[in-house]
Amino acid sequence: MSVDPQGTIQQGKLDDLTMMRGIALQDPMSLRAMYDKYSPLVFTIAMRMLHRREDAEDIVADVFWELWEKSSRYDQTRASPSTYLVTLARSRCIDRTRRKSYRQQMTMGSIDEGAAGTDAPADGVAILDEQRQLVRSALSKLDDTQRQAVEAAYYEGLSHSEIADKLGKPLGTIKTHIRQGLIRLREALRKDGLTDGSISK
Amino acid sequence: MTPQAIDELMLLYVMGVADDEQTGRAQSLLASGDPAAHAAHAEAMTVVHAIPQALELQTPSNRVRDQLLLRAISSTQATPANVSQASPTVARSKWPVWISTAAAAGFAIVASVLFIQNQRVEGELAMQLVEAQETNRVVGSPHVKMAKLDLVPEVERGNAAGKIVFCPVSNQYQLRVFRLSAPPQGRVYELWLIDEKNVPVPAGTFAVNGSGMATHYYKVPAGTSFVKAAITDEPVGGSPKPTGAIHLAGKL
Repeated sequence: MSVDPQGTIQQGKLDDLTMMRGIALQDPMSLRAMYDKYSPLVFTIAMRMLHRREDAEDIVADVFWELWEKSSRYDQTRASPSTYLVTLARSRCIDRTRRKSYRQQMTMGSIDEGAAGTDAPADGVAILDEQRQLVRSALSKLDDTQRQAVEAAYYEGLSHSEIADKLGKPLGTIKTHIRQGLIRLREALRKDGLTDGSISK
Repeated sequence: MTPQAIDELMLLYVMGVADDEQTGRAQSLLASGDPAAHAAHAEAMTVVHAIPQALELQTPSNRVRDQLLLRAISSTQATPANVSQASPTVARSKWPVWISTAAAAGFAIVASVLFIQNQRVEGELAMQLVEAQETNRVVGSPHVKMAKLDLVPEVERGNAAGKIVFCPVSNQYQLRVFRLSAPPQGRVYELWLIDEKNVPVPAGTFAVNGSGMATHYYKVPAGTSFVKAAITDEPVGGSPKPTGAIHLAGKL
């Protein structure tokens, strides 16, 4: 990579920032390194939100192209590179869902979720990464309705009232569930020391 | 607003479920430059966007990667517009329409296959060009050093080998591996540079081709030095700490 990072090595953090600086300098090796590291996460989010492999791969291409072409938009004081990528992935998926009235199409079938493709990791391959396990554990501490409400808001981009309709609960209950769910998630992550910016590097 | 109320407001704002009034308040707090609001916003970003970290990872097809890298490399090289100036002259065909249609369809299929193959080859060639440029940068240094990585027989069978060419002045490392078997399914290879306190620093993941070869580049911060290097297999996406078996290792 053709950049000169400053500072000392901190597990993964400088690595990502180094790659971002390389991308800002239009270094294809940096883009390749960033892609190799984070394309599975971006693709997984897109599959979870769009359910179709072809659309999810479009999102991966769009997100990394945006990272390459509009790298100046990234502000390291606001989010880590991985959080930035996740944010981009989620908003592009929500845009696409709204643009194509995805929910209508999904009821007509052709969902790829169950056939994630030949490139997916083997069935049951657990992601042993320590950080992922901590996040998973934190989410598992939410009760079912809280988790459903939080996931509907995150992955489907639904409003409070849309989630209330979907889950058949009163609007006030849903607002409380999402608020409490997020607070509980934050507290769990704080307890594990993962909200100091180290979580998703 | 209390710090707790700001924290909660930012969680709802980042999640995208804040109502109009809450959104207005969050935006005006951020626009005011309030450090507490910005800190709360940053934490909310981390918390909310940690949610997908719990998903089981899947990988996109290699085609996406090839096309992205080709496009990126093309964008860095000024290429003149390549506009076809051909002005086709259409000859009247004496063949029946169905034969023309079938031939056209066949031609379109062949052209599509060739186009996809061509894109892939172009992508690989473009990456090889960039790799060659990187190699020149590392090898061209008068301070360049080379180290051998040997296989760990308990894990890696056969005659896999590796070498690292590095420049302690420009802090660039180039890894090459040969005859390394494909990693277990759902895993990738990761390079580790290990300092004199025996702390491994992740230096990127890489894939080997069908012949077990790979080239991988990494640049470390100025002032850092390493005494050993190792290659392990890790979950897709890499790991911040080594968790898998060591396949190749050596002293720098």
